[in-house]
Amino acid sequence: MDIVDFAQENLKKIDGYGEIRIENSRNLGIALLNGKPREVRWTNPAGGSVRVLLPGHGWGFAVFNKIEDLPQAVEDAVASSKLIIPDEPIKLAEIEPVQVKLEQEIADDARSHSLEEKYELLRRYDELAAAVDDRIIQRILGYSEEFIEQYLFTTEGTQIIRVRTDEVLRAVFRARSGDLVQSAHKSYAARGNFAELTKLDDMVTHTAKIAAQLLDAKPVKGGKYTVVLNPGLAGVFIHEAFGHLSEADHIEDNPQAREMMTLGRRFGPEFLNVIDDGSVKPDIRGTIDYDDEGVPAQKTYLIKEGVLVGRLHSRETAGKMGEKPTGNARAQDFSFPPIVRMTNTAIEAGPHPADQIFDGIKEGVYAIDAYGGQTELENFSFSAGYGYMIRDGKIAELVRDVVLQGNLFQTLANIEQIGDDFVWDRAGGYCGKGGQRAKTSEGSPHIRIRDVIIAGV
Amino acid sequence: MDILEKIAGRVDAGEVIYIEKTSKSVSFKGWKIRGSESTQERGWAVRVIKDGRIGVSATTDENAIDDMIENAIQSAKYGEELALEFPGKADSYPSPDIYDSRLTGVGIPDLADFGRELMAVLEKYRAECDSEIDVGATSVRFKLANTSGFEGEYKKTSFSLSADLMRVKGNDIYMAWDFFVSPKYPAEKSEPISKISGRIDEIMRHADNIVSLSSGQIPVIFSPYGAFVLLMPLNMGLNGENIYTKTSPIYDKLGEKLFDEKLTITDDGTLDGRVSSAPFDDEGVPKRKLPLVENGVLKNFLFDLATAKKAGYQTNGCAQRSLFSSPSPSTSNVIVAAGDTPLEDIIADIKEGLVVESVLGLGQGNILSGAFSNPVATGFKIENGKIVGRVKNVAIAGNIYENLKQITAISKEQKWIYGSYLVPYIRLDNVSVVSK
Repeated sequence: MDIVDFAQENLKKIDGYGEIRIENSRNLGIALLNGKPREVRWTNPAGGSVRVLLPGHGWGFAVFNKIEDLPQAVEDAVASSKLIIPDEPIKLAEIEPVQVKLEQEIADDARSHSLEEKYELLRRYDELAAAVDDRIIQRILGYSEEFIEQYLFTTEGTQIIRVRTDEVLRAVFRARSGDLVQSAHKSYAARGNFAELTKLDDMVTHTAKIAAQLLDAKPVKGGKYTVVLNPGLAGVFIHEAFGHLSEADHIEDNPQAREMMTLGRRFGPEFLNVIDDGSVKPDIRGTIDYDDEGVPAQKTYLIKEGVLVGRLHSRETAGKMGEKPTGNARAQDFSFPPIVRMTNTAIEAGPHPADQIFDGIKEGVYAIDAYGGQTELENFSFSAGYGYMIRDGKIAELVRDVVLQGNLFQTLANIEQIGDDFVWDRAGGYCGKGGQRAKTSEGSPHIRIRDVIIAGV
Repeated sequence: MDILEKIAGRVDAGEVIYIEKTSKSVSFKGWKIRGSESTQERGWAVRVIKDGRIGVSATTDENAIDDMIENAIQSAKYGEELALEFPGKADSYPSPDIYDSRLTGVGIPDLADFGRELMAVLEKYRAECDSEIDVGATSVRFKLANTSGFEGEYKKTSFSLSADLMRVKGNDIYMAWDFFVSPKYPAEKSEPISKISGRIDEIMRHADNIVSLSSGQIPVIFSPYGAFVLLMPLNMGLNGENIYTKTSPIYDKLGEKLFDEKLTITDDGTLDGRVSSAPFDDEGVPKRKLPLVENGVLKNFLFDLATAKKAGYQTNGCAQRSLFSSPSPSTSNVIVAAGDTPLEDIIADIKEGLVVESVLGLGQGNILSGAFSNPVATGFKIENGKIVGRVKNVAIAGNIYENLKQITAISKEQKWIYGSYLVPYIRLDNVSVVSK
């Protein structure tokens, strides 16, 4: 059966706005534990979903695995939509329908490399890590690849057929000394380029070194410090502490939150610019070309010269707020409806020479990478991977348990310097929201912030 | 299952699972109905042992089953070397009450009504709060067969209702939420609705009443909701994954008294009326009542087949898996035993203390080591034996392997949290509290 014809036929049954998404994903995961094979797993999630919005009604959504169940799913989604009569009609911002078949540029196709080769790559990295320090008691090396065929059809005439590929290398190391256990981890994500994953020797050995060195490091003394964040941590910070607030579906129904995020409000110094860009080329983890409603991805300024100028939208939030859609409606996979998600989010390069960013700091903390971050809107808490004390303008001793806590508004206002050394972090992480994972990435230069609270015992 | 027949001759041992899931849900946002969703999913996963190595594969495409089998067998070449022995048929299995046929017939309009009624009760917060309400009904059929002769299946249903309120006043954001889940369709709507609204009222009561708190080692009461700060690190410490790798601080301490004797924690997968119960775990091992900590003494870890074998133990039926992931150990229903003292008496002698309801960044940091360090998201101040308001800009830190050695008191009162944790209030006088 021809998927395109079958989907188009079924779209005709919808007396309103409708989307049919169909996906077939072939994924491979390999893991090595302490040099021994831990797991090899092939998975193949396949199926689709129908999303319907009848005029004057609400969203109906139905998921299926068997393609033969598509007609039933259309019926279910239509019936679901009919049941809901919202107080205010849902208005979708208008877009141009688009018909396109996209092939992601693939420089080195992972599928052309054997299972053996991938396994040997992990073994090579494991040997490098094992040689670093005896106290490393656990070494996990993981490889994953995903090939997803995606179809999007809408009743407005949009038809997008595309393939997305991802390759990720992950390393997690745990070191132990007596009762003290410390860990370090890092990952690298490529898009259609297996070769990039073969050049990660330095990343692997450095991460192993950190895990071991943390055993000798003291916990950072809690207090208020001038802190320099490395690009990895700064990127996660802006994503977690600010990026989610820019997702219009967070605030669309709350007048007070909307007021907090009023366009034109000053958030930080003039040299602060924050963007979300789903169109970054060459493709990185959050690059999507089109979102899951068929809206083209774009570079959206969220903060420009320190002032709030934009937010991220789906067609629904854009329609509700009278703004333009931004191409940020994304679903984890076919079994979820799209919601507003970030793509590649970043603090743009600033005016300050990065090699002078430590100058004049009598006692501060250089915090590196993020092991986790959480925000309850204005308040955030981040665990840095590790840190170094800054003493008299120089990087000093390694410290552990560096947890940054604070209030978003105060923290952005306290940014002293934004370095000129912008990089996109190549980590292979996910953003979690509403029970869905999204592949995102973050970018930033080094940034320096005063009066940051570092939790400590 | 004929998949099992296809693989049996080609492998040392094999296991096939089939999962079918139907679900319906309705969501409300911003005090309005937002959308509804229905799902029909099903898939297969296979795990084989070939030449002593494990291969796994899974698919939701019935046309790809032969590919799935081939992939599993081929991938065993680079799979973990672990000759698992799948369990055969046991003498008996518990049969907890986890199925309600009414839930398979519940329609979206019924679920919508439930949500609307809850929304009506919470309407009083509308002026100041954004809200999100979700209602859902799920039905699952789980089938497992292996080459050791086990073949079993069961059906499970669940009904869930939750509400999330967010109050934004200037730069202050305050959240209150609760979650009800049961395998049964509630006989009375008021049962889950009053539970949720009662909890939200309890939290919202102090929304405007912000008070200051001292720093230091002041008494901290972890409410049943807040106790996850303590339970999460412990859960990690007990997990078979961290036992065989020796990364858990307590991997070699079975049988030792690690905690205050007031602490008794049990994992029980046999309880009626609980969504985490089942006749057998996800590898076919019968569910049971498993003591984890008894009067402070470490009694059992959480194992599945693989972690048990690697650690030199027997599996104790804690395997949990989804279609696309390998089994790993997990708790089912966790019961932290109640104490003797009513909560009122526990807080009566506290001049200044803190009740922790929730923290930011739960589970972050080095929790495997037992450490916790978090800003308090929702916390209340106790002054002279009474709760007098909520606190802001307060953080707590500690390590469960130290702090739980001395538990000042555990309350008589317990609450079911997330449907799977029965937890009392726990008072500790040795937690570090930092207030700005």
